[in-house]
Amino acid sequence: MRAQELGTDLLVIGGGVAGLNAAMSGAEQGLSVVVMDKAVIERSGHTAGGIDHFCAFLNTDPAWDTRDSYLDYTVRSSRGATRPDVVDKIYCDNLPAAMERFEKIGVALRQSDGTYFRTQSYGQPGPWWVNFNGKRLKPSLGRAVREAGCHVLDRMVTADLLVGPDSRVCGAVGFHMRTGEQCVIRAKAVVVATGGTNRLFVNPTGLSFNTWMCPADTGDGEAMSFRAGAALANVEYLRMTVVPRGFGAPGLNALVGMGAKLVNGVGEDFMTRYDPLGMNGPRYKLVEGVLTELKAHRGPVYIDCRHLDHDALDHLVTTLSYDKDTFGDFLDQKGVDLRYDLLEVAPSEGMQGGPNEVCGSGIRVDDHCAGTLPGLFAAGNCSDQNRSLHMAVTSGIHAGKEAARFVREYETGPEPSPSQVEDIRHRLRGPMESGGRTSWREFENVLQRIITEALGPARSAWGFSLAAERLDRLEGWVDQVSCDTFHDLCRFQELYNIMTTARCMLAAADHRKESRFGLCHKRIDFPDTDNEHWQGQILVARDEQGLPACEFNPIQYSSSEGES
Amino acid sequence: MPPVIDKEVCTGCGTCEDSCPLDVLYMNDAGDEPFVRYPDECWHCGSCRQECPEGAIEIVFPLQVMIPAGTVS
Repeated sequence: MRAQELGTDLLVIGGGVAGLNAAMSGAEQGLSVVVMDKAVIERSGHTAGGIDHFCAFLNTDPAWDTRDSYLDYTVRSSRGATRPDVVDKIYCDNLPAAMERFEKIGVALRQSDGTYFRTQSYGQPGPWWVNFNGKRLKPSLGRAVREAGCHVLDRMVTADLLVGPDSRVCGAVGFHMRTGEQCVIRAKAVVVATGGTNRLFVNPTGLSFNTWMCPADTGDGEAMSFRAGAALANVEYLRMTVVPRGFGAPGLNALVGMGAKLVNGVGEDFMTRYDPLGMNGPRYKLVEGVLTELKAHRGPVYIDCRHLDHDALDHLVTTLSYDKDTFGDFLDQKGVDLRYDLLEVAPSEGMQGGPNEVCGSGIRVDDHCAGTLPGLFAAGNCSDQNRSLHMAVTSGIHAGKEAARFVREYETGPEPSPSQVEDIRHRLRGPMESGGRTSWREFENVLQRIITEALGPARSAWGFSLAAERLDRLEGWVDQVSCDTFHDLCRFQELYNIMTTARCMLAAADHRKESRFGLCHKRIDFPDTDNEHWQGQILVARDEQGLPACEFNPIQYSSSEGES
Repeated sequence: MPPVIDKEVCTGCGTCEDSCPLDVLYMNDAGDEPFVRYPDECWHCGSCRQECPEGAIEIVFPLQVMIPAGTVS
């Protein structure tokens, strides 16, 4: 089959909130823009079904509602993972533009009376979360991107990045999820915006796609960037949350923000045992508290909303359905009325992610959202400093503008090598022609078990070496995986990316010989946090054999930062 | 098993097919009726239901969600 060929100034991989904001900014700067996404951009990515909170400082109170206060919290809550100079340029500088972008696409952050409804959680010094109805955020953004003249390739699965001379990233190869038609896109710059890494860990419900964050977000951009030679950072950390037991739904932020409490099976309001801030402690402490209570057989653990007043409860139920459209159906089908009933909760599946809501993991970016290879930019949850909606929007805007600045320096992009294109196309043919006897589901199941055993909340050098050996064996099994449809080929491509990400996660976790951020990186062989030697990021990049090699990059914070 | 499409109400317009972020919903070969091709890959995000112009889609949670069991992490 011949491949379709396209040329553009800017290629955006991933049409979620970050990618579509990057595309809009690129178009505003006069670039030709191609956007590719595995689904249709009006309903793709983590906010496909809606979202309800956007983190913003609004300068209403000098004590907590300021840029300095935000940066201070960022350092305090993600010391060693965050680089405040980068966050300042990407998020703080672009926050006003981000809020204008919402207005431009017709999604209101304000309530109908013109005020902001703000809530507080996770140890933040004030109510930074702006609650809003984001159910139509993606359809609105998708329409705006099409109206801006961007060329959208829906249902286009990216297989790998193309790298030209001098390691410059110059495009990508993809295939259509339904027809299998391949596409080679040459670009002067590439923004990778593919979201986080899910489906890496066993899902406790037995349903692999019943995840807290979007199960189509499978570390594709991180894995492709790593294979292209770019560095990743913060990838050693395990991220979990507390979900209604059985249902992989977001909502903890809304529940905590509105004043709900966690209680155990003997009726104790137990969180103060795990954090002095109790329910207002960091998310990873809430997870640790729930997990520890369950393991001590003091479960079931419940979330209790019964003490909330009726206005707060009404707002809570509404906002939960903005964040997860089917939350109300879940409560109805379970027969739970939050006014009178407790809701059973449990830790979610794991994912690879930064330690909290304001620090990311993945492609290492500088203050221009540039990766460590020329021509490569990254935005949103796949980049090491960006997380959550507020940073998806701001980093998208910033990456689009910075990519435009890069593109203006070049008349033409480098030509990708034909052999690289052919290598990628050959790899894609493999599972369609192998006649092997292993399905992607079997492969996924084993991969998740290997990762969960080694990279869960208890880690050690012994576990890492065991997992590395098993991953070698699994990689040797790739040739025996067979796909019947291009949908299945997409799923297997996702697993190929998850396997790459897992190798990087394993290498970084092994390299970090300390523990940090509670269960995010808890080594039983190095149980203490060691700021003297390990306050900084582990950068992971491929060596000449293509294997992950780690380098520790210390971060110095000024004495005033994060001490309050 | 989510989602469930009420064939009496559905007009076969195909909107749901394009609204699924996980490629779970397909139109049949004749192109006049959607079906749930990959039920195990549903994220229960509700995008299809929000977009359905006829209100023909209901989200019905699978048994693993209704009766969760097993060890935690």
